[in-house]
Amino acid sequence: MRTVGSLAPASFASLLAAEGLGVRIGPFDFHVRARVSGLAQPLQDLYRDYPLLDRERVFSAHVAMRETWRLRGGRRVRFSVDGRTPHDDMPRGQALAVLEWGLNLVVALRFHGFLMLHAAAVERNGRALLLPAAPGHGKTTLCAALAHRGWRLLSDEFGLLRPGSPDIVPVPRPMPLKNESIAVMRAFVPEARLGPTITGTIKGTVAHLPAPAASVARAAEEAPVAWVVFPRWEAGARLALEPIGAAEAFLAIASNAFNYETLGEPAFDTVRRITEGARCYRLVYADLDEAVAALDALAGG
Amino acid sequence: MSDRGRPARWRAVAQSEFAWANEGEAPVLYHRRSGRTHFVNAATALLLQEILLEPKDAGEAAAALAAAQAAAEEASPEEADLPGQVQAILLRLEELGLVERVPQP
Repeated sequence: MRTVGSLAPASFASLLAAEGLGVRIGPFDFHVRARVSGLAQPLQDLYRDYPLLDRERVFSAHVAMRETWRLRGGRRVRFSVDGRTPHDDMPRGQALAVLEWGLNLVVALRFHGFLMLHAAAVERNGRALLLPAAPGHGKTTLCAALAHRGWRLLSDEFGLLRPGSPDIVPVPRPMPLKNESIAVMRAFVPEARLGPTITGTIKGTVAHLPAPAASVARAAEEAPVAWVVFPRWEAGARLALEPIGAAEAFLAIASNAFNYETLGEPAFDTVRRITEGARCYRLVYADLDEAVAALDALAGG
Repeated sequence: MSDRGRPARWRAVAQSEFAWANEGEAPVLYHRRSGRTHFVNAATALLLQEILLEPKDAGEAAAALAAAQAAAEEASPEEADLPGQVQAILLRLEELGLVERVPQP
Protein backbone atom coordinates (compact mmCIF):
# COMPACT_ATOMS: atom_id res chain seq x y z
CA MET A 1 0.00 0.00 0.00
CA ARG A 2 1.28 3.48 -0.83
CA THR A 3 2.10 5.78 2.01
CA VAL A 4 1.84 9.53 2.42
CA GLY A 5 5.61 9.73 2.26
CA SER A 6 5.71 8.04 -1.15
CA LEU A 7 4.36 11.19 -2.78
CA ALA A 8 6.74 13.86 -3.96
CA PRO A 9 6.36 16.90 -1.67
CA ALA A 10 5.00 19.01 -4.50
CA SER A 11 2.41 16.34 -5.40
CA PHE A 12 1.37 16.01 -1.76
CA ALA A 13 0.95 19.76 -1.40
CA SER A 14 -0.99 19.97 -4.64
CA LEU A 15 -3.34 17.11 -3.80
CA LEU A 16 -3.86 18.37 -0.25
CA ALA A 17 -4.93 21.78 -1.49
CA ALA A 18 -7.02 20.58 -4.46
CA GLU A 19 -9.06 17.38 -4.21
CA GLY A 20 -7.65 16.29 -0.85
CA LEU A 21 -6.06 13.03 0.32
CA GLY A 22 -7.34 9.86 1.93
CA VAL A 23 -5.31 8.73 4.93
CA ARG A 24 -5.85 5.69 7.17
CA ILE A 25 -5.28 6.43 10.85
CA GLY A 26 -5.95 3.32 12.89
CA PRO A 27 -9.55 2.25 12.32
CA PHE A 28 -10.48 5.55 10.68
CA ASP A 29 -10.28 6.56 7.04
CA PHE A 30 -9.99 10.33 6.92
CA HIS A 31 -10.29 12.52 3.87
CA VAL A 32 -8.14 15.60 4.49
CA ARG A 33 -8.12 18.74 2.40
CA ALA A 34 -6.24 21.86 3.41
CA ARG A 35 -5.38 25.10 1.68
CA VAL A 36 -3.06 26.68 4.21
CA SER A 37 0.35 27.97 3.27
CA GLY A 38 3.20 26.27 5.10
CA LEU A 39 1.10 23.34 6.32
CA ALA A 40 1.79 20.67 3.69
CA GLN A 41 5.43 19.95 4.44
CA PRO A 42 5.17 19.45 8.22
CA LEU A 43 1.95 17.50 7.74
CA GLN A 44 3.56 15.15 5.24
CA ASP A 45 6.55 14.71 7.56
CA LEU A 46 4.32 13.74 10.48
CA TYR A 47 2.18 11.34 8.45
CA ARG A 48 4.74 9.95 5.99
CA ASP A 49 4.33 6.34 7.17
CA TYR A 50 0.52 6.29 7.04
CA PRO A 51 -1.37 4.43 4.30
CA LEU A 52 -2.59 6.62 1.50
CA LEU A 53 -6.11 5.74 0.40
CA ASP A 54 -7.80 5.99 -2.94
CA ARG A 55 -10.79 8.29 -3.06
CA GLU A 56 -13.30 5.64 -4.09
CA ARG A 57 -14.50 4.79 -0.62
CA VAL A 58 -16.77 5.94 2.15
CA PHE A 59 -14.60 7.93 4.53
CA SER A 60 -15.04 8.05 8.28
CA ALA A 61 -15.01 11.82 8.02
CA HIS A 62 -14.03 14.62 5.65
CA VAL A 63 -11.94 17.23 7.39
CA ALA A 64 -10.84 20.45 5.79
CA MET A 65 -8.95 23.58 6.63
CA ARG A 66 -8.64 26.87 4.81
CA GLU A 67 -7.30 30.30 5.48
CA THR A 68 -9.51 33.19 6.52
CA TRP A 69 -8.74 36.81 7.19
CA ARG A 70 -10.07 39.21 9.78
CA LEU A 71 -9.59 42.95 9.94
CA ARG A 72 -8.60 42.74 13.60
CA GLY A 73 -7.59 39.12 13.85
CA GLY A 74 -5.19 38.84 10.95
CA ARG A 75 -4.74 35.59 9.06
CA ARG A 76 -6.51 32.66 10.62
CA VAL A 77 -7.51 29.11 9.73
CA ARG A 78 -10.94 27.54 9.72
CA PHE A 79 -11.28 23.83 10.53
CA SER A 80 -14.34 21.98 9.34
CA VAL A 81 -15.62 18.44 9.41
CA ASP A 82 -18.10 17.27 6.81
CA GLY A 83 -18.72 20.91 5.95
CA ARG A 84 -19.46 22.05 9.49
CA THR A 85 -17.25 24.33 11.56
CA PRO A 86 -17.06 23.13 15.19
CA HIS A 87 -15.18 26.11 16.64
CA ASP A 88 -13.92 29.62 15.97
CA ASP A 89 -11.16 30.35 13.49
CA MET A 90 -7.69 30.04 14.98
CA PRO A 91 -4.36 31.80 14.24
CA ARG A 92 -2.82 30.59 11.01
CA GLY A 93 0.52 29.94 12.65
CA GLN A 94 -1.16 27.24 14.73
CA ALA A 95 -2.67 25.44 11.72
CA LEU A 96 -0.91 22.12 12.32
CA ALA A 97 -1.94 21.99 15.98
CA VAL A 98 -5.50 23.05 15.10
CA LEU A 99 -5.76 20.28 12.51
CA GLU A 100 -4.46 17.68 14.98
CA TRP A 101 -6.84 18.83 17.71
CA GLY A 102 -9.60 18.89 15.14
CA LEU A 103 -8.99 15.22 14.34
CA ASN A 104 -9.15 14.47 18.08
CA LEU A 105 -12.41 16.34 18.30
CA VAL A 106 -13.88 14.36 15.42
CA VAL A 107 -12.93 11.07 17.05
CA ALA A 108 -14.22 12.10 20.48
CA LEU A 109 -17.55 13.41 19.26
CA ARG A 110 -18.39 11.00 16.51
CA PHE A 111 -17.16 7.44 16.86
CA HIS A 112 -19.33 6.12 19.64
CA GLY A 113 -19.07 2.62 18.28
CA PHE A 114 -16.00 2.53 20.55
CA LEU A 115 -15.65 3.09 24.25
CA MET A 116 -13.24 6.02 24.25
CA LEU A 117 -10.95 6.51 27.20
CA HIS A 118 -8.84 9.63 27.61
CA ALA A 119 -5.75 7.51 27.80
CA ALA A 120 -2.47 6.70 26.19
CA ALA A 121 -1.76 3.06 25.38
CA VAL A 122 1.32 1.09 24.45
CA GLU A 123 1.96 -2.60 23.84
CA ARG A 124 4.69 -5.09 24.53
CA ASN A 125 4.68 -8.85 23.88
CA GLY A 126 1.04 -8.75 22.84
CA ARG A 127 -0.20 -7.07 26.02
CA ALA A 128 -1.34 -3.48 26.36
CA LEU A 129 -0.50 -0.95 29.04
CA LEU A 130 -3.28 1.60 29.41
CA LEU A 131 -2.38 5.03 30.83
CA PRO A 132 -5.57 6.98 31.61
CA ALA A 133 -4.96 10.50 32.87
CA ALA A 134 -6.36 13.98 33.07
CA PRO A 135 -4.69 16.69 30.97
CA GLY A 136 -1.40 17.87 32.44
CA HIS A 137 -0.55 14.61 34.18
CA GLY A 138 2.30 13.75 31.82
CA LYS A 139 0.47 11.07 29.87
CA THR A 140 1.74 12.03 26.42
CA THR A 141 5.33 12.53 27.58
CA LEU A 142 5.41 9.17 29.31
CA CYS A 143 3.75 7.51 26.32
CA ALA A 144 6.25 9.09 23.93
CA ALA A 145 9.13 7.87 26.09
CA LEU A 146 7.78 4.33 26.22
CA ALA A 147 7.18 4.34 22.46
CA HIS A 148 10.92 4.97 22.04
CA ARG A 149 12.00 2.37 24.60
CA GLY A 150 10.68 -0.87 23.17
CA TRP A 151 6.95 -0.42 23.52
CA ARG A 152 4.63 -0.17 20.52
CA LEU A 153 2.56 3.00 20.41
CA LEU A 154 -1.17 2.28 20.31
CA SER A 155 -2.29 5.82 21.04
CA ASP A 156 -1.21 8.85 23.01
CA GLU A 157 -4.73 10.21 23.38
CA PHE A 158 -7.47 7.62 22.92
CA GLY A 159 -7.82 4.25 24.57
CA LEU A 160 -10.28 2.85 22.04
CA LEU A 161 -12.12 -0.37 22.87
CA ARG A 162 -14.88 -2.19 21.09
CA PRO A 163 -17.78 -2.58 23.54
CA GLY A 164 -17.47 -5.86 25.38
CA SER A 165 -13.83 -6.39 24.44
CA PRO A 166 -10.74 -5.65 26.57
CA ASP A 167 -8.60 -5.21 23.45
CA ILE A 168 -7.19 -1.78 22.64
CA VAL A 169 -7.78 -0.67 19.05
CA PRO A 170 -4.64 1.21 17.93
CA VAL A 171 -4.91 4.72 16.62
CA PRO A 172 -1.27 5.85 16.54
CA ARG A 173 -0.99 9.56 15.91
CA PRO A 174 1.67 12.24 16.16
CA MET A 175 2.20 13.03 19.84
CA PRO A 176 1.75 16.70 20.81
CA LEU A 177 4.49 17.52 23.29
CA LYS A 178 3.83 20.65 25.28
CA ASN A 179 6.05 23.25 26.89
CA GLU A 180 8.80 21.70 29.03
CA SER A 181 8.08 18.25 27.60
CA ILE A 182 9.54 19.31 24.26
CA ALA A 183 13.04 19.75 25.66
CA VAL A 184 12.62 16.66 27.83
CA MET A 185 11.85 14.50 24.82
CA ARG A 186 14.56 16.09 22.67
CA ALA A 187 17.01 14.95 25.34
CA PHE A 188 15.33 11.57 25.81
CA VAL A 189 15.16 10.78 22.08
CA PRO A 190 17.91 12.88 20.44
CA GLU A 191 17.31 11.24 17.06
CA ALA A 192 13.62 12.18 17.02
CA ARG A 193 12.56 14.57 14.28
CA LEU A 194 9.90 16.74 15.85
CA GLY A 195 7.50 18.86 13.87
CA PRO A 196 7.66 22.66 14.00
CA THR A 197 7.48 24.39 17.36
CA ILE A 198 4.12 26.14 17.59
CA THR A 199 3.90 28.90 20.17
CA GLY A 200 1.01 30.72 21.77
CA THR A 201 -1.61 27.97 21.57
CA ILE A 202 -4.25 27.51 24.24
CA LYS A 203 -2.00 24.77 25.62
CA GLY A 204 1.20 26.80 25.36
CA THR A 205 4.02 25.75 23.06
CA VAL A 206 3.45 22.55 21.14
CA ALA A 207 5.67 20.34 18.97
CA HIS A 208 4.57 17.02 17.51
CA LEU A 209 6.62 13.86 17.77
CA PRO A 210 5.77 11.48 14.90
CA ALA A 211 4.45 8.04 15.74
CA PRO A 212 7.19 5.42 15.20
CA ALA A 213 6.92 3.86 11.75
CA ALA A 214 6.69 0.33 13.18
CA SER A 215 3.68 1.36 15.29
CA VAL A 216 1.92 2.82 12.27
CA ALA A 217 2.65 -0.32 10.24
CA ARG A 218 1.05 -2.50 12.94
CA ALA A 219 -1.96 -0.27 13.51
CA ALA A 220 -4.36 -3.11 12.74
CA GLU A 221 -2.99 -5.30 15.57
CA GLU A 222 -5.13 -4.95 18.69
CA ALA A 223 -3.89 -5.94 22.15
CA PRO A 224 -5.70 -6.85 25.40
CA VAL A 225 -5.22 -4.60 28.40
CA ALA A 226 -2.89 -6.27 30.89
CA TRP A 227 -2.02 -3.26 33.01
CA VAL A 228 -3.81 -0.04 33.84
CA VAL A 229 -1.56 2.67 35.26
CA PHE A 230 -2.86 6.11 36.24
CA PRO A 231 0.21 8.34 35.82
CA ARG A 232 0.82 11.71 37.40
CA TRP A 233 3.97 13.74 36.87
CA GLU A 234 4.94 15.75 39.95
CA ALA A 235 8.08 17.88 40.16
CA GLY A 236 10.53 16.44 42.64
CA ALA A 237 8.34 13.48 43.55
CA ARG A 238 9.82 10.15 44.49
CA LEU A 239 8.76 7.40 42.15
CA ALA A 240 5.75 5.51 43.49
CA LEU A 241 3.98 2.71 41.65
CA GLU A 242 1.23 1.41 43.91
CA PRO A 243 -1.48 -1.14 43.21
CA ILE A 244 -5.10 -0.03 43.52
CA GLY A 245 -8.26 -2.04 44.01
CA ALA A 246 -10.62 -3.07 41.26
CA ALA A 247 -13.45 -0.79 42.38
CA GLU A 248 -11.21 2.27 42.53
CA ALA A 249 -9.83 1.38 39.12
CA PHE A 250 -13.35 0.86 37.77
CA LEU A 251 -14.43 4.28 38.99
CA ALA A 252 -11.31 5.96 37.61
CA ILE A 253 -11.61 4.31 34.20
CA ALA A 254 -15.36 4.96 33.87
CA SER A 255 -14.89 8.59 34.93
CA ASN A 256 -12.07 8.96 32.42
CA ALA A 257 -14.14 7.80 29.43
CA PHE A 258 -15.50 10.30 26.93
CA ASN A 259 -18.66 8.30 26.34
CA TYR A 260 -19.31 5.90 29.23
CA GLU A 261 -22.79 7.30 29.84
CA THR A 262 -23.57 7.36 26.13
CA LEU A 263 -22.81 3.68 25.62
CA GLY A 264 -24.46 2.45 28.82
CA GLU A 265 -24.21 -1.24 29.63
CA PRO A 266 -21.69 -2.12 26.88
CA ALA A 267 -19.36 0.46 28.47
CA PHE A 268 -19.94 -1.05 31.93
CA ASP A 269 -19.20 -4.49 30.53
CA THR A 270 -16.03 -3.29 28.84
CA VAL A 271 -14.70 -1.65 32.01
CA ARG A 272 -15.66 -4.78 33.96
CA ARG A 273 -13.59 -6.90 31.60
CA ILE A 274 -10.63 -4.55 31.90
CA THR A 275 -10.66 -4.48 35.70
CA GLU A 276 -11.14 -8.23 35.94
CA GLY A 277 -8.28 -8.97 33.58
CA ALA A 278 -5.72 -6.27 34.27
CA ARG A 279 -3.52 -5.27 37.19
CA CYS A 280 -4.14 -1.66 38.16
CA TYR A 281 -1.72 0.88 39.63
CA ARG A 282 -1.23 4.53 40.42
CA LEU A 283 2.10 6.02 39.31
CA VAL A 284 3.65 9.24 40.60
CA TYR A 285 6.90 10.20 38.94
CA ALA A 286 9.27 13.06 38.32
CA ASP A 287 12.04 11.35 36.38
CA LEU A 288 11.12 9.89 33.00
CA ASP A 289 13.88 7.24 33.01
CA GLU A 290 12.74 5.99 36.41
CA ALA A 291 9.13 5.82 35.29
CA VAL A 292 10.02 3.90 32.13
CA ALA A 293 12.18 1.49 34.13
CA ALA A 294 9.34 0.87 36.61
CA LEU A 295 6.88 0.13 33.80
CA ASP A 296 9.43 -2.08 32.04
CA ALA A 297 9.78 -4.03 35.29
CA LEU A 298 6.01 -4.26 35.60
CA ALA A 299 5.75 -5.74 32.13
CA GLY A 300 8.63 -8.10 32.73
CA GLY A 301 7.33 -9.34 36.07
CA MET B 1 -43.97 3.54 58.77
CA SER B 2 -46.88 2.86 56.46
CA ASP B 3 -50.20 4.62 56.67
CA ARG B 4 -51.53 1.67 58.65
CA GLY B 5 -48.80 2.15 61.25
CA ARG B 6 -46.98 -1.01 60.24
CA PRO B 7 -43.36 -0.87 59.08
CA ALA B 8 -42.84 -0.47 55.35
CA ARG B 9 -41.59 -3.50 53.45
CA TRP B 10 -39.21 -3.46 50.51
CA ARG B 11 -37.96 -5.88 47.96
CA ALA B 12 -35.26 -5.59 45.33
CA VAL B 13 -36.41 -4.81 41.82
CA ALA B 14 -36.08 -7.65 39.31
CA GLN B 15 -32.58 -9.12 39.23
CA SER B 16 -32.68 -8.81 35.46
CA GLU B 17 -32.33 -5.04 35.96
CA PHE B 18 -28.87 -5.57 37.49
CA ALA B 19 -25.44 -6.30 36.08
CA TRP B 20 -22.57 -6.74 38.53
CA ALA B 21 -18.80 -6.33 38.46
CA ASN B 22 -16.12 -6.97 41.09
CA GLU B 23 -18.50 -9.19 43.02
CA GLY B 24 -17.25 -10.19 46.44
CA GLU B 25 -14.62 -7.48 46.67
CA ALA B 26 -15.98 -3.99 46.10
CA PRO B 27 -19.11 -4.51 44.03
CA VAL B 28 -20.07 -2.29 41.14
CA LEU B 29 -23.65 -2.37 39.98
CA TYR B 30 -25.04 -1.33 36.61
CA HIS B 31 -28.77 -0.62 36.78
CA ARG B 32 -30.18 -1.35 33.35
CA ARG B 33 -33.41 0.58 33.79
CA SER B 34 -31.77 3.88 34.78
CA GLY B 35 -28.49 3.36 32.91
CA ARG B 36 -26.60 4.35 36.04
CA THR B 37 -23.56 2.74 37.63
CA HIS B 38 -23.42 2.44 41.43
CA PHE B 39 -20.48 1.65 43.66
CA VAL B 40 -21.90 -0.19 46.64
CA ASN B 41 -20.55 -1.94 49.71
CA ALA B 42 -20.81 -5.65 50.36
CA ALA B 43 -23.80 -5.25 52.69
CA THR B 44 -25.82 -3.39 50.08
CA ALA B 45 -24.93 -5.99 47.48
CA LEU B 46 -26.14 -8.70 49.87
CA LEU B 47 -29.40 -6.83 50.39
CA LEU B 48 -30.01 -6.48 46.67
CA GLN B 49 -28.86 -9.93 45.59
CA GLU B 50 -30.19 -12.12 48.39
CA ILE B 51 -31.91 -10.63 51.40
CA LEU B 52 -34.49 -8.55 49.55
CA LEU B 53 -35.47 -11.18 47.02
CA GLU B 54 -38.49 -11.54 49.31
CA PRO B 55 -40.15 -8.47 50.88
CA LYS B 56 -38.78 -7.44 54.27
CA ASP B 57 -39.07 -4.48 56.61
CA ALA B 58 -35.95 -2.76 57.90
CA GLY B 59 -35.86 -4.87 61.08
CA GLU B 60 -36.14 -8.13 59.19
CA ALA B 61 -33.56 -7.05 56.65
CA ALA B 62 -31.19 -5.95 59.45
CA ALA B 63 -31.62 -9.30 61.19
CA ALA B 64 -30.86 -11.16 57.97
CA LEU B 65 -27.84 -8.97 57.37
CA ALA B 66 -26.59 -9.48 60.93
CA ALA B 67 -26.99 -13.23 60.55
CA ALA B 68 -25.03 -13.18 57.33
CA GLN B 69 -22.31 -11.03 58.89
CA ALA B 70 -22.14 -13.27 61.95
CA ALA B 71 -21.78 -16.28 59.69
CA ALA B 72 -18.95 -14.49 57.95
CA GLU B 73 -17.58 -13.18 61.29
CA GLU B 74 -17.78 -9.62 59.99
CA ALA B 75 -19.94 -8.04 62.72
CA SER B 76 -18.46 -4.91 64.27
CA PRO B 77 -19.39 -2.91 67.41
CA GLU B 78 -20.34 0.26 65.51
CA GLU B 79 -23.20 -1.61 63.91
CA ALA B 80 -25.26 -1.54 67.10
CA ASP B 81 -28.03 0.42 65.37
CA LEU B 82 -28.13 -1.87 62.40
CA PRO B 83 -31.90 -1.57 61.86
CA GLY B 84 -31.59 2.23 61.71
CA GLN B 85 -28.73 2.01 59.28
CA VAL B 86 -30.57 -0.48 57.11
CA GLN B 87 -33.63 1.75 57.13
CA ALA B 88 -31.50 4.62 55.76
CA ILE B 89 -29.98 2.36 53.12
CA LEU B 90 -33.40 1.13 52.03
CA LEU B 91 -34.69 4.68 51.61
CA ARG B 92 -31.64 5.58 49.51
CA LEU B 93 -31.99 2.45 47.40
CA GLU B 94 -35.64 3.31 46.88
CA GLU B 95 -34.65 6.78 45.63
CA LEU B 96 -32.29 5.12 43.18
CA GLY B 97 -34.95 2.70 41.95
CA LEU B 98 -33.08 -0.35 43.14
CA VAL B 99 -35.72 -1.47 45.67
CA GLU B 100 -39.45 -0.94 45.74
CA ARG B 101 -42.04 -0.81 48.47
CA VAL B 102 -44.40 -3.72 48.72
CA PRO B 103 -48.04 -3.00 49.59
CA GLN B 104 -49.14 -4.24 53.00
CA PRO B 105 -51.26 -7.38 52.74
